[in-house]
Amino acid sequence: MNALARHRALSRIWSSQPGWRGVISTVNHSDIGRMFLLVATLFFLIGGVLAMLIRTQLATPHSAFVAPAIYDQIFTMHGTVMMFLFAIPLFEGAAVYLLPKLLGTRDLAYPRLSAYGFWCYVFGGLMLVFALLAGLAPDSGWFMYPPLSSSAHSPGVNTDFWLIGVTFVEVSAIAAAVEICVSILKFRAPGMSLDLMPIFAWYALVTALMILMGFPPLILGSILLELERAFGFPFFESALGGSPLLWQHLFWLFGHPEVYIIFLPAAGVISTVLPVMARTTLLGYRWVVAAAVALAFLSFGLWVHHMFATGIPHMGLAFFSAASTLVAVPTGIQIFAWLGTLWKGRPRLTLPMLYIIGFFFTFVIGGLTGVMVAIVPFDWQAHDTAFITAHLHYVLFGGFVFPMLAGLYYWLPQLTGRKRFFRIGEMAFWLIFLGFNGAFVAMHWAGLLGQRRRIAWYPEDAGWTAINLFSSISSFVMAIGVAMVVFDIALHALLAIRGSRNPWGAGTLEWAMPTPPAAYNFASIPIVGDREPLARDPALANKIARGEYFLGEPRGELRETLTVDAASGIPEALVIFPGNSTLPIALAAATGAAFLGALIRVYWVIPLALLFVVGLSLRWGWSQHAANCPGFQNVGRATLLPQAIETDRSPGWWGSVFLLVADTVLFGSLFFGYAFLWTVGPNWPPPQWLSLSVLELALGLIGAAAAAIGLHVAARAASRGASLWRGLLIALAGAAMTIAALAMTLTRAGQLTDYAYGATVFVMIAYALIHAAIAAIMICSLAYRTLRGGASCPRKSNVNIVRLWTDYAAFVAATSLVATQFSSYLT
Amino acid sequence: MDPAGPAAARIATLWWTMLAGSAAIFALVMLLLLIAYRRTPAPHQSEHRQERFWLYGLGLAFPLVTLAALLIYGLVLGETLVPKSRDNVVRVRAEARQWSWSFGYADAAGLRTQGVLHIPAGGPVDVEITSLDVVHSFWAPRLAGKLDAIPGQVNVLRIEAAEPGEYHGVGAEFSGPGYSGDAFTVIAHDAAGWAAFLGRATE
Amino acid sequence: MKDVVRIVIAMLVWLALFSALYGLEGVGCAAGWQHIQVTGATLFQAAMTLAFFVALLILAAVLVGLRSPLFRSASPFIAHISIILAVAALVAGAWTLFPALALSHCA
Repeated sequence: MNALARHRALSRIWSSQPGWRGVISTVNHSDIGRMFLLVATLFFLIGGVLAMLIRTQLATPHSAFVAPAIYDQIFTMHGTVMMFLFAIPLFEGAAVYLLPKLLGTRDLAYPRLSAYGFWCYVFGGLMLVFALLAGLAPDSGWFMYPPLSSSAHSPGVNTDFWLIGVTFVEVSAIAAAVEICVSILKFRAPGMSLDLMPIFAWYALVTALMILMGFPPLILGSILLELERAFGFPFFESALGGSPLLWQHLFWLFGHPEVYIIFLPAAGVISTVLPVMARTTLLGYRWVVAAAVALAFLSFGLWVHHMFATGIPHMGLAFFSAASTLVAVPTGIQIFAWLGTLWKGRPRLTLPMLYIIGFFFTFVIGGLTGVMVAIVPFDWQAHDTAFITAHLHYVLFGGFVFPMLAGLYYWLPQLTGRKRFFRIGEMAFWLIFLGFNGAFVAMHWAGLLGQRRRIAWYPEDAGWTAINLFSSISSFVMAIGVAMVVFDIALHALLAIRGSRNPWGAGTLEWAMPTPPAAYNFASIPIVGDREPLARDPALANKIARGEYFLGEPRGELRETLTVDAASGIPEALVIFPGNSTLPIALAAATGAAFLGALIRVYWVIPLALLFVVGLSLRWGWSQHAANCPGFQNVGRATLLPQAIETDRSPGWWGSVFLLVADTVLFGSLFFGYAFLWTVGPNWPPPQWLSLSVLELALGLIGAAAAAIGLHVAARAASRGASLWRGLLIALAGAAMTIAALAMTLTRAGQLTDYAYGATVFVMIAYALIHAAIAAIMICSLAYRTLRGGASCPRKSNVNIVRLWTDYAAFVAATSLVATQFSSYLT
Repeated sequence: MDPAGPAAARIATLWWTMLAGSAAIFALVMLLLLIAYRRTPAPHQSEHRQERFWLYGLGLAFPLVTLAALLIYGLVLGETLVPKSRDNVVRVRAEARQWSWSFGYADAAGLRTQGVLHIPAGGPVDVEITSLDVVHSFWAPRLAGKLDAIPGQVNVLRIEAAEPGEYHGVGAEFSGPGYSGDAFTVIAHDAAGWAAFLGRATE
Repeated sequence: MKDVVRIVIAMLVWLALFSALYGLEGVGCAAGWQHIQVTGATLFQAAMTLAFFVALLILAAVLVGLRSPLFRSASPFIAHISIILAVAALVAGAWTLFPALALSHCA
C-alpha cells in the first residue's frame, strides 16, 4: 500500500459524515476541538460586547445608559460568560484539538465523551444566552453570594438560570478533564515516556486534574443553593442554622483554583511557542513541570484570600496570606525559565512572539498587584474596589488572552495549512495592547481613589470622571483590535494561499503531518525517542506517511490506535474506537432535559429524563465491545498486543478512577459543609438530632461490606475464568441491604425546611443512596451480560470497573451513616 | 489614598512601599526581556549554569527573600490593626440593610442614628457590624479597611479618626440594585462635641 | 500510575495538612480553647504549636520516603521532580503554617 492509498483508506475510516449529519454525529477530536474553539470564541465576543456595555455605562457620571437592574445582569453575565463559557471551554477546545497530535496518537481516549461534553456545553450555554436575551439573566454577581441570591432577595428565575446553566456547563468540563487525564497518561506514541512529553501535555494534565478537584465544590454549592431556593432547605440561612459563609467557602474553593485553571494552559502555550520563536529548547523542563504541579496545589490553599474582609480570625487569614505570597514563587520560576530560554536562544520577533511580549508586560504587573492584595491589611482597603477589577483583568487577560492569541497565530498554519499575508494581525496587536493597558491602568487608579466594583453610577463630585472616560475610550480601542483579529482570521480562512508544512521550524509531532490535518492524524503511529522528534529526524513526517511505524496497515473499517504504559511509554494494548454516533448528542439532550426540568420547576420531567440518561448510558456501555475477543493482534513492526478492553485495566477503568476523584472531592466538600455548619454555623445546635438507629447502621454497614466482598469474589473468579455468579449475588444482596438502610435513614431526616442540620443530613444520605443505586444498576447490568453472553469477552475489565464503583459506594454509605447516626453523641 | 486615621495611614505606607518594590521588579523583568533581543548569545554556556542562574537564583531565591520580608511586614501590621480587648475603646454598632445603615451606641442605650455614624475623634472605636438581610460591607476608606456585614454574625472593626470632621463611608459588597447609592457618613467629634452628642441621647 | 502518585503526593499532603490546621484553628476558637490554661500557655497555643510541628514532621517523612530506595521512582526524571516537590511541600508547610506559632488567637 503506498502513501496515497493509505491516506484514502484511513480517511474513509476516520472521517465524519458530510453536512449537518456530520456535525451532530462526529466524534473525531479534530472536529470537536474546532467546534469547541469556534463556540468559545463566539462566547468571547458576547462577553466582550457586555464589557463594552459596562464601560459605556461607566464612561460618564450619573449615567442613564441602562438602569441598575439591567446593569447588574450585564456585569454578572460578563463575568459568567468569560469564566465558564469562554476561558474553560477554550482550553478544552485547544486540548481536544491539539493533544492527540502532540502526543502522536489518532484520537482521545473516549471520542464519544468529547462529543457529549461539547453538546452539554452548547446546551448549557444556550440556556444562559436565552436568559440574557429574555432579560432574565442572573443579576447577583458572578459569585452569587446568598442571601442576596436566595429566594427571599432574588425571587425571579434569574439566579436559577445561573445555578443550573453553569452546573450543566461544568458537567462538560468534568467530562473533558477525565478525557484529558486518561488520554495524556495512556494514549501516547510508543517510546514517549513522561519525561519526553511535550510540555503542553504536562500543563494540560495538571489543569485537568485541577478541574477534577476544583469544580466539584461549586457543583455542590450550586446544588445546595438550588435546593434552598426551590424547596427551602436552609443551608445558607443563618436564622435556621445555615451560614452564608458556607457558600463563600465552597465558591472560592472553586473560584481561586479556577484562576490557575485558566492560567496554566496559557503557560503551556507559552512554554511551547516561546522556545520555537527563540530557536532553542525550553530551559529547565523539569523545573517548569515541578513549578506547574506546585502551582496547582498551592492554588487550592488560597481560597480564603477572597474572604479577608469577612471577619475570619487573623491567624486564619495569615495562613492564606502566606500561601498567597508563596504562590508567586512557582510563577516566578516559570517567568524566569522563559526569560532564560530567550537568552539561551536567538529570539525572532514574529506575531506570536509579539503577543508573548504583551503577556510578559501585563502579566507581570498583574502578578505584582496580586502579591499586594495577598497582604491582608492592603486587601482590607482594596477589596471590592476597581483596583481588584484591574488586577484580575491584568492576570486573566494578560495571562490567558495574550498567550492564547499567541497560540492562535502559532497554530493557525497547522489548522488551515495556509499562510498569513496581510499585516492586520500586527496592527490588531498594538490596538489591543495599548487599549487594554489604557483601560486598566486607569482602573487601578480609580480603585485607589475609592471607586467600588459593580456600581452602576457615581456622582460627579467623586473625582473619577476623567479616569473613567479615559478607561472607556481605551477599552473601545481594545475592542476594535479584537474585531480586527476576527477579521484577520476570517480573511485568512477564506483567501490565504497554501503554506509550507512546518513554517516555524518546530520540533513537535503536530507538525509532522499534512496540513490541514487528516482525520486520522498519523498514517502510522511513530516511535518517539526525543522531546522534539521532528527536530531530530526531519524525515519523520514522510516515514509516518509511508506507514513505517505502528498500525500502518488499515484493517477493515476499524479506527485503531495504541495505548502505552503511563510512565515508560512502552506499548501496551490496541484500542478500537467507536465510530460516528448520535448517541452523545442524544445523551446530552436527555441530561439537558433533566436540568431544564429543574429550571422551570416541572419536576416530573426529571425522573423521566434520568430514565433516558440511564438507558442511553447502558446502551453506550454495551455498544463499546465486540462479541468476541480475538486475543493478541499484530500492530505492525512484528509486535503483538492484546485489545485494551481485554486487559485488566481498560480505558474505562482509568476513566472511572479519575471520575471518582472528582466525585470524592464532591463528597469531601459535602462533609466539609456538614462540619463547617457544626463548628462555625450560627444558631447551633439544632432543635432535634437524628437519633441513633442500630438497625439502620448495622444493615447499612454489613450491606456495604457484603457488596465490596461480593465484587472482590467476582473479580477473583473472573481472573481464574470461573463463574461470576456467587460474587455477583453476594454483592447484589449487599447493595439491596445498603439501599434499604439508607432509605430508612432518609425518611427520618426530619423537617427539612426547619433547620440546616436536617437538610444536610438528608443531602448526605441521599448522595450515598444515589451511589448505592448506581452500583446496584452496574451489578445488575453485569449480571445480565453474564446471563446473556456466558463468558463474553471483556469480562475481567468490566468486573474491575464495577468493583471500583461498588467499593466507592460502600465507602460513601458507611461514612455518611456513621457521620449522621452518631450526631447526638458528638455534641 | 488620603488617610485620616492611624489604620488607614499605616496601610497607605504599606501601599507606597509595595508600589516602589513592584516598579523595580517590573523594570527588571522588562530589562531582561529587552536584553534578550539585543545581545548575541554566548556560544558555549552549559545548560546547567544557565539553570542555576535563572531558576535557582532569579526564580527561587529572589522571590523567596522578597516575599518573606513583605509577608512578615504585612502580618505584623495586621496584628496591630486587629482589635484586641483594650480599655477606653468606644463601642458602636452598625446594622446594614438594603440600602441604609443604622447605628447604635453602647454609651447611650436607646440612641439610634440613620445613615450617620457619630464617633469621638482621636481615640479607637470598635464598630460591631452586622446585617439584617444580605451581605454588605462597612467601609470608611479614610479611616480603616473594610469589614463585611453578614447576617447572623457580628464582626468587629477598629476605626480611628485623628481629627474631628466628616468622613465618607459606603457599603462595599454588591448588594442588589440599590448598591451604587448605598452610603453613609461618619462624623468625628471633639471631646465636647461627643459629650454633647451622648447628652442629646439621655435628654 | 504509581509515578503520578509520586509526583502529586507531597503537595497533596501539604494541602491536607494546611486545611487541617485551618480547620483546627476554627474548631479551637469555636470551642473556646484560648481560655483554657495548660502549663503556662493556653490549650489553643499548645494545640496549634503541636500541630505545626507534627505537620512539618509528616512533610519531612514524605521527603525522606521519596528519597529512599523503597519508594523512589525507577525513572530519574520522576525521582527528581518528586523530590523537588517534596522539598517544596516542606518549605510550603513551614511558610504557610508558621502563623500558628506567632499570631494572636481568635481575633
